[in-house]
Amino acid sequence: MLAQHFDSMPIHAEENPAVMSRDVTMTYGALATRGNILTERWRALAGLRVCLAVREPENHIAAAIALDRLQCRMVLAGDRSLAEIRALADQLNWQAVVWNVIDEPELLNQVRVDETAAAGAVTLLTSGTTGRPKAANHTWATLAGPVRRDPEYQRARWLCAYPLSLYAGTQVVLQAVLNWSALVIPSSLEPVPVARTMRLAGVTHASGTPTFWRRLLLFASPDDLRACRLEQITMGGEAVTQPLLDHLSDRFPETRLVHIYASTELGRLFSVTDRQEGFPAMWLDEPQERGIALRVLHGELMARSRHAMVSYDQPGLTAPATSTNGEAEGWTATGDLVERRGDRVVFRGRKSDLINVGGRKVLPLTVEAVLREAAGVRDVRVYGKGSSLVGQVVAADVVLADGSEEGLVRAAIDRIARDRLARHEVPRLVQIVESIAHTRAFKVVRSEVG
Amino acid sequence: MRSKDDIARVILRTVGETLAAKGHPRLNLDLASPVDERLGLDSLDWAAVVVRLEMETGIDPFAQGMTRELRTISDLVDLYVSATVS
Repeated sequence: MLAQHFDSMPIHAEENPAVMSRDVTMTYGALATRGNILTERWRALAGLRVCLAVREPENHIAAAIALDRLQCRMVLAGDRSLAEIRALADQLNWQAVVWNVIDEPELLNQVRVDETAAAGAVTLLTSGTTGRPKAANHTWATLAGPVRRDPEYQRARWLCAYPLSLYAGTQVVLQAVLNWSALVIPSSLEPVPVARTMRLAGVTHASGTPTFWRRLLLFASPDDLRACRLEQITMGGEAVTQPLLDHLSDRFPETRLVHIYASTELGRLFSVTDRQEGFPAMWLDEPQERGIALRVLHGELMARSRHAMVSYDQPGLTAPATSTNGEAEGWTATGDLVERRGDRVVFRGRKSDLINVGGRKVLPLTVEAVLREAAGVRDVRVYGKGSSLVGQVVAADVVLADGSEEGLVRAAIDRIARDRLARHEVPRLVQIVESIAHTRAFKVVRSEVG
Repeated sequence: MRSKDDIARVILRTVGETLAAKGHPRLNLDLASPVDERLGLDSLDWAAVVVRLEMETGIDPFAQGMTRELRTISDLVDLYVSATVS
């Protein structure tokens, strides 16, 4: 699908910028040529299960075009360490790794895997913060399902603040590539250089996690942010909170704000654009899109999705969350806890993030929302810290606002927490930190090791 | 290995900071201070004190299954000292 798309490139698109990264701009014509060269060079890989570990964004895409043309099952490994890739290759029976576009691909395992439907197959690794990632089999066609195509998008410049190998990253890549628009990849996701890149590259559409946007608003240069001409801000990967939406609305009043709800396994389920947190409860009865169904069961959002992966790639690993019996039959649990408030369904956090304080469950997002209101708190992360006496205690990492005094902030946090939260929800361990720990996918770390 | 004085100092400082953070600083906190509700810490505060002590000293007598009647800070210090020895 990807290779055919490039084969059908209209002449006028050849000069369009495809990838802007590290002060280099590569056009669609040049990207297609590089894809052709790699196809010739990598003939020996035809039909194999190949791990794509190329780091530079333009080469990552050129390599994906080549591997698609060679009918490989490609596994997007992202910027994992060499040791990690080797371990995964062994577990998941990969046959070759392409580390870059210069050296010969490394052949790992000569045993052919009987794979009849590999054409167009892409395997994504989940961004799980603990344990080994799960490998989700998609195809370029299932990944491209949610992409909006519109000739208007040709002049768009998409900033992608996700690793290109994750589900959200592939969505931004396809959104740009399938519309022949430019993909802007910042050299780092630190707020200051990102805001400068957005300004200098003339970014019109920008995608990142809520954590990414919160950090950008807090730490980027206000001058750079003011000079950005963003038409659309897209968020995904974590729950979007009302204070963040309000803050973005203040800073970018003309910009369309989009919250995309998706997962590696289920694909994109819906997008919300009304600047309110959560989503309209009517979508539980009438989904936003054909082929998507949502329901709430015991406080958890369940879904059926036509954009879902085909299967897991690990032998013996079936989709564990899809029930085969009872009232949940045929539905996949999303792992997200939700609550209906009037005509809205709002997110309360990940089921796996719940903190267990002596048998009572605490939602980190609820505690964070209160702590953010304490004077002198610039940013905050709430998580459970293991305790021999009560299972877990609620812990908070806090970034101080400029010029605030630690003792006063601690007192303000304690006061607001005791006023507004239940006794077991009050953070008992408060650490002052320089910045909030986030994962490679720019989500807040919820485990105690940050 | 930490001395008993050393452990006592860490425990008094940690309890003192926990009280101060709750807005109940105690100037006269000492080994004879009670560890029940008269001190001003609830059970979850104590759980957090134990976590902090473990982070600082590497010792958690409760994780080792040690229990004994605790009336004063001094009893707590003794518990930590015996956990160090065991």
